Amino acid sequence: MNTLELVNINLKFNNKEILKNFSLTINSKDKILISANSGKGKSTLLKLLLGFEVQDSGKYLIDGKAIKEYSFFEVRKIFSYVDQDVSLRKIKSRDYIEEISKFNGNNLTSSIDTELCKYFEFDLSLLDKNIQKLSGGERARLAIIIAIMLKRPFYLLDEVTAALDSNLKSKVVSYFNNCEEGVIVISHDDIWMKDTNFRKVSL
Amino acid sequence: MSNQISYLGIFYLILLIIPTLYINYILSVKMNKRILISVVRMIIQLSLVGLYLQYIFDLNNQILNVTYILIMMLVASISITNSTPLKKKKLYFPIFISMVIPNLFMVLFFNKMVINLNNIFDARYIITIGGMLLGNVLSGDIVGLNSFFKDIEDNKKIINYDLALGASLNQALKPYVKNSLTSSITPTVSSMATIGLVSLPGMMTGQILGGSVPLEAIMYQIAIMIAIYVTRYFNILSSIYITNKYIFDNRGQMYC
Repeated sequence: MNTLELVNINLKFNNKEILKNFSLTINSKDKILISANSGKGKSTLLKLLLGFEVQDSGKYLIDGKAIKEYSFFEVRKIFSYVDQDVSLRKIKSRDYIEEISKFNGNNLTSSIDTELCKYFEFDLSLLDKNIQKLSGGERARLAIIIAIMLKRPFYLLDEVTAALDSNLKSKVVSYFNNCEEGVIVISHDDIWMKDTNFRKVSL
Repeated sequence: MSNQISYLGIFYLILLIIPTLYINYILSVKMNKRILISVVRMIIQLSLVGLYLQYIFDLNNQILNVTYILIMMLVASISITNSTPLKKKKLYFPIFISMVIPNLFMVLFFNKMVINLNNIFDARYIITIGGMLLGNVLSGDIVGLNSFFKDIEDNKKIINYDLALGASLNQALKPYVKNSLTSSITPTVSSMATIGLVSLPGMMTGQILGGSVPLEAIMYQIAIMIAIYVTRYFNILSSIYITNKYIFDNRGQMYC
């Protein structure tokens, strides 16, 4: 149902050309790994999709309609996003999930999906800790679990495996490789391309 | 009536400032110029207020009285806006409006419902009560807005993450509104708890010196404290929600 199209996108940031004549079509269920050197605007691309950044020229279409015709709050409901720094609020994980369940239009349960916790080896006792006190790896897994619980058509994952050990890395990759939804990944980990359905797109 | 303060009395007090200037000099506290300018400004400003308040009280024209209090709000809102780290131009208007609504409501409510005036626009009341409210609201608004603007700047990534998770702008900003409101009303809440124990409030002291009996002065003090608390509360909320309309675009991004 959802098709995302970027057509001849140009985007400058602080006078630096981040995206130049960039085009990409993303169909539902596509698995894409974005690759480029650091500082080449991979994260910016995800922010553009989410409507946090706006292109200087070019077109961003969703199902053939220009992004302007949607409200940005509507657009964001298409994506489950995990950002590079995992910028979760500084409260207890349990309270945060409850809060997210109250955001308009979200239909996730107010308590965490324990099956997912088991799969990603996320200890349930961590739910009563302040998110700030979790390790980088724990936080990344919490963010992944929340993203999955949102049940949205596309995942946007920015360096989600960076803080994980190799066992967990392969679990994360295999989950997203086999899931029903579209996945757009930014990562320096080669494991995303090993025997997976991901195709590489260079910026 | 109490004894009047003479010019000589003021002069004696001014003499006491001199040792502080000297100690500042010894300690290299570079504030002497500022202190002197501030004292002189205070004397000139209050003298002028004394003169034209007398004039305004004599005229007691309703339109003039309301205009006067609106000008006070304008000055207060300019000084609040100037204390924020954001681009000023856009904020003068929303901060002024967010100040007028709760303050004007409260002063008229106070005059009608609390002291039951026949003329709720009476200069002696609307200007003095309004001025007291404004002075207190001003500091609350500065503390609250600065806390809010600093929070949303520091937590930009978290706010965007919440937006990506599906939050509306108000939902994403809720933790920072909460902080701002707390920091804005805390001083008033604490002072209500200690008033009379560790300090005698200025308004009450003034009334007693002016010849009121303590019980009457206390009623005014209680009323004004509650009015200050409520006005401060709604002023910081209206400031946040009205300025938000001017500092966030339809993408939920700040452009100030």
